Amino acid sequence: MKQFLLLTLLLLSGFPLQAKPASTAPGNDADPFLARLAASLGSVTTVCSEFEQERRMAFLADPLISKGMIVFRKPDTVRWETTQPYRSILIANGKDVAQFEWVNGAWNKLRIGYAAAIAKIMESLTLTWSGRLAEQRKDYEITVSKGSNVVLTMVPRDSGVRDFISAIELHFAKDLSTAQQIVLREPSGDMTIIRFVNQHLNANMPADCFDVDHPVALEQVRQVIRDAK
Amino acid sequence: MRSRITAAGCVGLGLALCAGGCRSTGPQLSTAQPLSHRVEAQQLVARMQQALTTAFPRNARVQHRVILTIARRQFVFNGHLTIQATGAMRLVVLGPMGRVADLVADADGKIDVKQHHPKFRERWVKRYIARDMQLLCAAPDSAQLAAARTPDGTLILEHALPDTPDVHRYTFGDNGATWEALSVYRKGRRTYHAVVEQTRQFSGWNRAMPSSLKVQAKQYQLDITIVDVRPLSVATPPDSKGASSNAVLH
Repeated sequence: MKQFLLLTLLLLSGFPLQAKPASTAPGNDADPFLARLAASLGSVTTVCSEFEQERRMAFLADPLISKGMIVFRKPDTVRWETTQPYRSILIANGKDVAQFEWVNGAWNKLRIGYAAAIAKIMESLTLTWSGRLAEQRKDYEITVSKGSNVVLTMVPRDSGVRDFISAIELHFAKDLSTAQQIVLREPSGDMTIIRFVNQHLNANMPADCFDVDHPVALEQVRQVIRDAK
Repeated sequence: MRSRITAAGCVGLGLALCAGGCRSTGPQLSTAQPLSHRVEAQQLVARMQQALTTAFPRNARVQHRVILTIARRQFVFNGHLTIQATGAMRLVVLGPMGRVADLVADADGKIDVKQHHPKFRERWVKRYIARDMQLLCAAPDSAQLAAARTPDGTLILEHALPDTPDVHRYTFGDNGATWEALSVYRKGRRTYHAVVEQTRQFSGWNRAMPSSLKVQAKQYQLDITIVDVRPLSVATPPDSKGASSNAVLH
């Protein structure tokens, strides 16, 4: 579940690409929480979830909404597919990265110019999926608050990064069984909220779900989920 | 100024790094024949200007997806363009690293870069993103316009820019009622070419608008897909000089 966090925030912000390593990584009350998170990840092999991304910008009265599906397979494979209002697929498998755009009625595989950056993002994702979220503390000040759910707040240590991203909030169910949403806050007051719904764990995803040349259609992924119910 | 789709400014990305690019010379302007009948010419100029002004509606938000190709490498951006009743515009370009650029063009065409990503220099934003936005979204002044017809019957509108060697040549279909393409010529050589590849009637609008555009510039190519066009309900106005005084979107 936590995999969503990193994937999304990294897609949105590119944090780890910019943050400078902190000289110290002080411990705090987040340590037990991070340990529990790591433990809860152990049994998860795949995650499939619909998402809705809401971007609120001060100069727009109405938020910008996009929707899609994310599929993760341990240890390092991800498919992030946006279905509305445009269609796009990003696949990373720890070795290759591919991006497809739906243009004039057909999928168009891009010669992506930021493959190295996405690979870097993948590396950070792997840290998270491996239950090593604590290692992010070199780049972020992490605090935890608990109420109706658990909120992990990550504040970039690098002031240059904070010029664009003031904080990332990761919202978990109280029992840490699921990640419910991510909130990305910008200094301007703009924010992005990504909500995860209809989450399914440990379904056997078709291998070509993550094919970097000819990924299977999303409908087939959804069929797998339906069959698994 | 008029409103048409903004090419998103995705461009910034590093265009300056790119050498080479399109060297097409395109058709010579002299092949077009000026319209001889004065009344007909005036009517057609008015019709073509109207087509440019209304290609994309004012008081609207145009959300688009852009693939930027530079030196065979591709980058994807989301653009969000708001067009006010006055023609003032604001474009926010979002990329994988967050907000790439945020710029405002007031009703007189003055550009104000409100924000840009550290990796995208302000002068790139002005040179490329703002240029795309203005070429694709800003209507030419009514002065210095000339209507002409090419040998195959296509109507064109030429705008010779003062103080520059550039000539903008708009191409129209449907006897001047539909904007189809824009070419920019410098000393007779085409340096910029934008084509409306598809049109579509978006939900809530009673007419078709461009939904797919391709831009070929000297150093880069843009493939623009319009994904949503909707009326602006409420928004804070651009706070640059000129734009704010014209703002109607409080």
